[in-house]
Order: sequence, then structure tokens, then C-alpha cells
Amino acid sequence: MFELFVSEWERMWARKKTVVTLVLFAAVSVLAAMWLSRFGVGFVNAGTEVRLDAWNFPAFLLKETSFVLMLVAAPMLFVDALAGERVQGAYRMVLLRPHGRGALLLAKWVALAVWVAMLLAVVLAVGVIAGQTWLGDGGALTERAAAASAAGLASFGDVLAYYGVFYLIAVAAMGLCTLICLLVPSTVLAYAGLVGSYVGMLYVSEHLRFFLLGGEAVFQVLSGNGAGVFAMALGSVMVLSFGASWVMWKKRELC
Amino acid sequence: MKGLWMSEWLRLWSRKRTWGMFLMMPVLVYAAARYCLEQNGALSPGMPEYATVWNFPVLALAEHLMTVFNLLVVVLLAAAVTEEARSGQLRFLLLRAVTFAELFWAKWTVVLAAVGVFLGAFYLECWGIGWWLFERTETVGLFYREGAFAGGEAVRYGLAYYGLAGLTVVAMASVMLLLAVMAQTATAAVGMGIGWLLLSFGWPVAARMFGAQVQSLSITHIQHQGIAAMLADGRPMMRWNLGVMVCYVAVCLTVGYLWFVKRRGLDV
Repeated sequence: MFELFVSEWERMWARKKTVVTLVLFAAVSVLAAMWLSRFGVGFVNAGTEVRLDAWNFPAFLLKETSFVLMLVAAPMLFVDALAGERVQGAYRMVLLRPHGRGALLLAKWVALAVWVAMLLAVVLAVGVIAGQTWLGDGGALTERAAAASAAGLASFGDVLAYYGVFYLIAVAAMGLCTLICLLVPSTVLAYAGLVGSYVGMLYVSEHLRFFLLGGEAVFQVLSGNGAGVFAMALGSVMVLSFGASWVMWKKRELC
Repeated sequence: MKGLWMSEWLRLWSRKRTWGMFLMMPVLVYAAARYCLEQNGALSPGMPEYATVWNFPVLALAEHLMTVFNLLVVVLLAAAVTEEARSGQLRFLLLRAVTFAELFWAKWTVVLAAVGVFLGAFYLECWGIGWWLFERTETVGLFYREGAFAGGEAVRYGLAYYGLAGLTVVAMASVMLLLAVMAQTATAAVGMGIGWLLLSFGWPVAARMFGAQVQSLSITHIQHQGIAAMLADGRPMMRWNLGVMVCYVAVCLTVGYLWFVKRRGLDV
């Protein structure tokens, strides 16, 4: 299993696209940090704004970069790993070795989950450094209390919790992407299907908007508003998508 | 050239994905209709946003132009250009006596024709569903125009709106064609296309302090607000927005053409 993970990880980094995506994503994070710190105000949602400072900055930076992460940086690698290799016939080579199909899928999921964690670590690092460099400690205690109440960010631990909850959303997106990649025969359609499903969920239910508006949804969860419904919706998507993908992957002829 | 064009056209429509997207159109129109009906409850008749049978085609397109039609262009071009080149399908096409230049123009015009068909079908479906769900008022309000207008005037306005919307899609398609030609894989083509859309959505916010003309350098901003501004009393943004779109088409098509021809159809 570990060898499969290493093989998957090395194959992922052998693609030039992975390195280019990571570098571009880091550049986007720096640009977004410059932009945010210039105005000194972050939006929890369309109607609520809080003053930015060194300790809450990384959370608001993730909210700003979340579109690029969820729509470009993560799905490109998801689709390449889950559909691209199948379409190209690369699995034939991988499965020449005596590994089970389930183990291959698990290795893919672990490698992609680490990739998402890397993207989030980049934003966190940029957010912490930019916050410390360009912003103060938040000024008056009353302002900090107001920000904590509106955004649910009372300490750096809450900022880490923000990243943790967002990570779960990105992992759920990976499950959804696996399912879509198994249902449609082309990489273009799988990618478009994933983005289309994000948008479609906005129309299905307000509680499923976290894929497209994840930054806003996590603020809501951390401020104690609708955390139970969020957990149920996210959990359902994860169980259904990962479960169905696992069954289909094991049964289907892959190459 | 005519044979090549027909071959491209038939291949595009022989794919299930094209038909799948085409059959999604009525669903999208119906979703827009439900949304407009919900909005009508909070609006007073006579407001431009109040949906009636006369202005529903415009409101429905405004709802879906920036997302659905732009994504449609990304998918069609990534499939027709990048995916075919990378999967080796272009090799078979080039067994015939066609040049790379002919192939480039055939692909470009076929995708535009397909988008035209999608837009036309969307317009007709809006009339069908609008006639069923919305009231036929005597007059209707139009964006940035003083007074109330009869149904006939609203229909002419709607046709002009669809024409300009079609031009914005052509401009967006020229950018997507360039990205599709440059991309090394189909997923990269889609990713770059979506990245470009995100940049276009963000630009009007970043350029807010520089005014409407600088904001309108973003095609999605033209789609969101610019088309209505172009059709407003006095046509204030008509020349600027048309100029922006012509620049996008000229620059992206020229670079895309040279890239495609110099790299001999993406190294097929």
C-alpha cells in the first residue's frame, strides 16, 4: 500500500502541471494577501465586514483564494489522477503489478488529500507571514471582540479550525469528483461536471452551497450558526460519493 | 473547406455530450423561470426586473450568460481542440488534404455556429416557458430606459440584447480558443478557462476606483452590466464595449492562429 502511495505521489509530481499549479497558486495567494491587506477589511458575508489583523488574516485570505483552490488548483489534479489516467490507459501499466484495485484507489485518495493539504498550507503560510508583516494586532479589544463574534474567530486555534473545516469540504469535493470521473468518459466532461455540480447544488439547497461558497459557509459554522445541518450535509455527500465510488471502482473494468 | 466544415459540424453533434448540454437548456430556462417568479413577489410590476412574458428571455439570459454559456464555450473548445489534438484524433483528420489553417478556421466557426444554435434554442424555449408561466402585461420596464414600453418594443430590445450577448460569447470564445490551443492537456485547457473566468469576475471589483470603462475590460462585466448599458438611452457604452470585444477577438484569434499553425496543430 505504501509503495502504491509513493508511486502515485511520484507520478503526480512527474506531471509539469502539478509544479506549475503549485507555483501559480502560491503567486495568487501572495497577490490576494497584498490586495486584502491594502484595504484592511474582510467580508464574513455580503453584509458583514470585520477589521483584519495579524491573527484573523489567514482565515480571510483562504476565503479569498477558495475559488481558485476549489475550481482550478484542486480539480485539475483530481481529474487528471482519477479520469485522465483511465482515459489514457495508464492504469494498464500500474496494474501490471500485483496490487488490488481498492488499494490503488486508496493510494490516489491519500495522494490527492495530501495535495489539498499542501495547497492549504501554502495559503496558511502566506497568510501568517503577510498578516505579521503588513497588519497590526487588531487594535482595540472591542473591535477584536466584534470580529470574533461575527466570524467565529476568537483565537489562532479558531483559524486552524477554519482551515480544518475547509479541508473537509475539499476532501468531500474529491469524493464527488471521483464519482463524476467514474460516471463520465472524458476528462473535459468530468471537470465541467464537477463545476456544474457545485453550481447546481446552489439551486438544490442552501445547505449545499459550501462547495462554491466554502469560505462564507465555514465562518457561519464557526460562529455556531447551523453547524449541525452543515455537518449532516457534508457528511452525507462524503458517505454517498466515497461509498458509491468505492463500489463502482471495485466492480468496473478500469483499463 | 465546406467538406471539412461539415465533417467538424457532424463530429461535434455526434457526441453525446453536445446533445446532453443541448437538452439541459430547457431545464436551465425552467430554473430561471422559477427564480424570476420568486423574485416577482418582492417587486412591483413595471420595474425592469419584474418578469413578464415580454422580458423573460432577457432576464433568463442575464441569469445564465456568465456561467452556463461561458462554461459551454470552455467545454466545446477544450473538447474540439485540445482533447482531439492530445488524443491523436487530429492525425486521422489530417490524412485528408486539409491545411492547418483550414482546420483552425473550421473548428472556430463550427463552435461559434453551435453556440448560435444553443442561444437560439434558449431564446425560443424562453418564449415557450415564459408564455406558460408569466403574465402578458400591457407594458414593461426596460433596463436604464425611461418610461413603459409595449410588448413589441420589448421584443426588439430582447433581440438586440441576444445579439450583443452573442458578441460577448464570441469574444469569450476567442480567449478560450487561445487557451485551448496553448494548453498541454484537456484538463489544463478547462482549468485555464475557468481561471480566466475567475479573473474576469474579480477584475471589476479590483478596478472599481478606475470607473466603468476600465471595469468593462472584463468580458464577464460586459455580460453582467455592459449589455444593458449598451442598450440604455443614449447608448453610452456601445462604442467602448464593442471596441473591447473586437480587440479580444483580434488579438486572441491572431495569436491562437499563429500558435496552432506554427506548432502544426499542436504537434499532432
